[in-house]
Amino acid sequence: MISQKTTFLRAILPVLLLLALSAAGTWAAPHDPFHQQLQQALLPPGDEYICGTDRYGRCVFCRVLAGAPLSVLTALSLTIAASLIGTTAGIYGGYYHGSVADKFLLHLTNIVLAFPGMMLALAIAGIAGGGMLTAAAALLCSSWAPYARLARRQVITIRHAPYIEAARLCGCTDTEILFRYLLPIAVKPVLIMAAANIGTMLLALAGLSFLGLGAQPPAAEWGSMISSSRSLLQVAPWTVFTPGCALFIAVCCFNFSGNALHDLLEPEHNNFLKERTYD
Amino acid sequence: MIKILYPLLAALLLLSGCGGKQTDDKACFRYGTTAYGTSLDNAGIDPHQSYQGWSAIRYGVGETLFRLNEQSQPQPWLAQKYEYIDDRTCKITLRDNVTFSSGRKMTAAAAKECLEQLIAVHSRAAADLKIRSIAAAGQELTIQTTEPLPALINYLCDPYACIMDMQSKTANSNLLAGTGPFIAQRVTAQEIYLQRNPHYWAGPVQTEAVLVKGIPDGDTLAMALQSGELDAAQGLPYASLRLFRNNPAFKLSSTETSRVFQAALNFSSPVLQDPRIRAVIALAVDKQAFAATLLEGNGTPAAGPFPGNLPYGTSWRSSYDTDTARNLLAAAGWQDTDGDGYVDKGGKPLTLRWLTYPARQELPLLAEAAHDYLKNIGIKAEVNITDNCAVFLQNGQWDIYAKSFVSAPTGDPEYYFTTHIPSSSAYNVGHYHNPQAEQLLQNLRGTADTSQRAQIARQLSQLITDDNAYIYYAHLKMTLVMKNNVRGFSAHPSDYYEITAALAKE
Amino acid sequence: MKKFLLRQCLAVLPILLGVTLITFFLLQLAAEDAADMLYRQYGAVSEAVKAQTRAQLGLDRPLYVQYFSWLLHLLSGNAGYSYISGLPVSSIFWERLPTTLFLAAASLLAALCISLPAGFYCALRHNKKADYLLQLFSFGGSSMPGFLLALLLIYFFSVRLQAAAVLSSSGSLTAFVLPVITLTVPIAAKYTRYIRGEVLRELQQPYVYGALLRGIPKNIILKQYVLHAISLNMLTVTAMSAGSLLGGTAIIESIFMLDGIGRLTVEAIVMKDYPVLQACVIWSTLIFILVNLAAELLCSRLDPRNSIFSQERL
Repeated sequence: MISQKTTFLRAILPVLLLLALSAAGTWAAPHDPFHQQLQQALLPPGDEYICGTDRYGRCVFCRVLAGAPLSVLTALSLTIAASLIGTTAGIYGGYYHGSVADKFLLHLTNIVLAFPGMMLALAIAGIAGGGMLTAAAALLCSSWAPYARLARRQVITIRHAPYIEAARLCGCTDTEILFRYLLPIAVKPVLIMAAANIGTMLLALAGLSFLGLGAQPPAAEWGSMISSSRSLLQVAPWTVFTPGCALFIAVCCFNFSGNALHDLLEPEHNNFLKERTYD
Repeated sequence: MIKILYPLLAALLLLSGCGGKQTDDKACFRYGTTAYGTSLDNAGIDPHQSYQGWSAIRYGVGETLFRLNEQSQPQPWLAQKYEYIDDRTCKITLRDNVTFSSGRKMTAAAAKECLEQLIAVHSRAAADLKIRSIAAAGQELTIQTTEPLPALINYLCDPYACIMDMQSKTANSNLLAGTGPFIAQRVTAQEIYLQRNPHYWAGPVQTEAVLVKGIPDGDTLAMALQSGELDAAQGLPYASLRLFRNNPAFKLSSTETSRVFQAALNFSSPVLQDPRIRAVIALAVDKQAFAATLLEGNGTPAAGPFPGNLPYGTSWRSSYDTDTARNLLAAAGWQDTDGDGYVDKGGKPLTLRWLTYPARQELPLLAEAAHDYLKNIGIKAEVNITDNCAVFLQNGQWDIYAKSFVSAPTGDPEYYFTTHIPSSSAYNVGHYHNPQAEQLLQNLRGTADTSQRAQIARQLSQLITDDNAYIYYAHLKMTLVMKNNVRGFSAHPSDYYEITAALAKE
Repeated sequence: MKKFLLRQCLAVLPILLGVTLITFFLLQLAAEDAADMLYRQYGAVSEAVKAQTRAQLGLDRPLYVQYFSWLLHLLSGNAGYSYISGLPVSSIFWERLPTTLFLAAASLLAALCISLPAGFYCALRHNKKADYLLQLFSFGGSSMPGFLLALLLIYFFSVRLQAAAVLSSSGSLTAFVLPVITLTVPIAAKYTRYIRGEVLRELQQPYVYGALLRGIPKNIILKQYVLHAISLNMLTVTAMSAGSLLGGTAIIESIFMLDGIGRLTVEAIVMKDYPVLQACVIWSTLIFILVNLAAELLCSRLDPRNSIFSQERL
């Protein structure tokens, strides 16, 4: 049997590594990721450029490193933002169960969940025009709802638990009850769900960029790097596969962590698939 | 459950197998192009609709009265000869042996119907042709213009002047009968299916059928050609061309064209009203490196709107000079005072909004390269690559607008200047205004002699490059890639003659 | 039962209304309206002319009036006309739908065909080498970016081996193989892990012990009891996947040049053809809702507990 400590390490380590890499990003890069040297274009991987150069003569490896903060941190902060918004809405609605606000939030959640996820994100990003910011906003708009539903469900089941009633009798205000007693209950499943969703968020973000709705050149976002190097797939495969591998590894890391966190917190549950993701 | 699942999958796959249309006959010439599609305004074969005439001409459905030769000089095509009766009246004699694929004879009356319909619905054509009246008698078509128009014959080469049988037009079909070697059988936003015209006036047509597929994605196009699904392709990404260049199974046909990649500068933008800043932008980019590396030699660096090999063209001279650019910037009062690598003046950094669209693969490359060249001398460029340039242009949210444009589609320089110099002209989006240039343009319009016209055109090109109203980066070398067994298929400098009766597959 | 059915169907109505509301107001975010789009081919047109057109199109009315008139049109089957081709958007949508439906159905089916045996196998070989190996595959598969997989497949199968068609719209069997594989891999990967977990949990249930003690062979227990038990959850999960495939095929359809609604959506975005975009969103959402509803009803049919306990829609 693996100890809790190892599981925890297993959960946190890959993400820490990724984050360190993202933080190091441009700093660790051996070359300027944005400096073009046309005479050095499309060099295959070698001593000088370990992953070769792209058609502008820029170091592909450096660009992937420089893109890490953009891709990874955006996905991470998006997931955090979505889970925070969702949880707040869910807890609030759940606690004031049956109130007008709850009904409104419940309906809004159900409506947002009724859209096929990627369709809504595509439409919002498309209408608001391209750009990293609108892409992020579009994903946020369509990804908070599952958290709201989850948190609400959690709160409803325990809102009349004896210790909550006791707290209320002791004169705790609603805010106190919400934050001190209800929030911690809802946090665990939300955390599991969020951890499992970072990877899909990363993929969705890269997907939007790939379709030209995300980052604009010369930004070094992985999805847009793959998209703009597509025509080099046969001539200079390194320009496609370096960002591709980075994306794949990053998603693997997050999924791995999410899985480990799930094992750690709720080994008996197996419900992660029932919530919506962006496939 | 399992018992249902697997047979279901098998059934589904079988269903899709049977559903397949069997259009893959061996005789069909399959041609993939990036230049056909709704986003290019040419999905269709009705020459009176935006740029659909290009498709009609390119794919051999229709023909114009005159045709440009390799030197971009108009030659009779559906016409036999022409003569100017006076400086506003031109008499064109049509061929006597041409019939539309609808069976109707191509008479002057039919051509008149078509052209009259054209100027009624197509504003660009109406502005070019300046037709006052058309008279038809037998095979003789007499066109009278509202003002002297020496370039009339050139304009009649433009694909919009493609002669179609207007009586074959029906409300619920997008098919039209033309005079070309092929007859359109099916026209959709994605593809055109053509069949041989058995009664083609200029001899037998070599190929049974042609399928033109609009494939917006260059990589898919390259792979489809490699995998043998296509016989020929146009618009391959430059990086892919080297896959075919040394491959004995394929051959290439290249030619220089007058398609120019140019940037218009926005004269309404305060910072660009300073001629020094405009000059800086022109000096900052190494056009030669752009053409050699990013276009992989499929372009020639440009110094003016027309390539140097045309009589009215501008021959190439390098303008890349970062030192002069930096000095000019400093002279204009822009210096990097806060050490962020970008110049500033009065606390504001010099930021230019570079607007372009992705439909032409060269433009994003140019944008990204220019971004770095400008950064190199301390100017920050904000690249905006969008299919929706019109909106940004209208709202004035741009400083530099890069686009691709065929500068001499009709073999005459006037068209380019008419559309780009006068304040009210269609493509003068940057509100460039120079009375001297407009005067020269008036002179050009009034001049009939070809060499004199070329002389004026060169002066005009020089004037607008001196003003840096437009910056010209490169001219495109168009390349067609085809399987080795394809005959009679070659790139034409005019960009719109692709499929002809000579096309054959062995 | 009938009451339950009716209630479920009625519960969908406010959601539908909300969906139309959001879709309609989403378009108000756009920088340009129908009048701008109509004139964009003609270059600069004075604002006065546009204002006149706006009045003709009813764009000067208050938003809620516009919304209700749009909704009424939608209900009568007229969802507007494309800015680009002028065709009714509904017909454009329905023309493109079969491709996407086929893609979704084929990849879901294929995913189930792969993941059911794989999941069971993993669960039975719990924590053995084969389990770890399959888990690893499923891990990689679910982390794979679809477009990367698509490019890899095209590169190897179409270019290197010349075994599959690149241009899928020719409608042949091979045309759909690569896109279906691309879509199947991540789904199958996820399902395998899910089914493994479900089976493991189910095997802990007392009834399994009971059946084992009664001497019922293990494969009968697996086939008859466990499979049936997990199939309900699988139904819900499959319905969710169907929804994510409705918009999620966009990238794959774009890469493989398939004329489905994903590509239609992307094209509509690129061309700013907002009525088409609106139709894509509305119709695919409607289909998603119907699929979910059907799955829910089927679930309650198969397991009456669901209809009793799900008094409240969460």
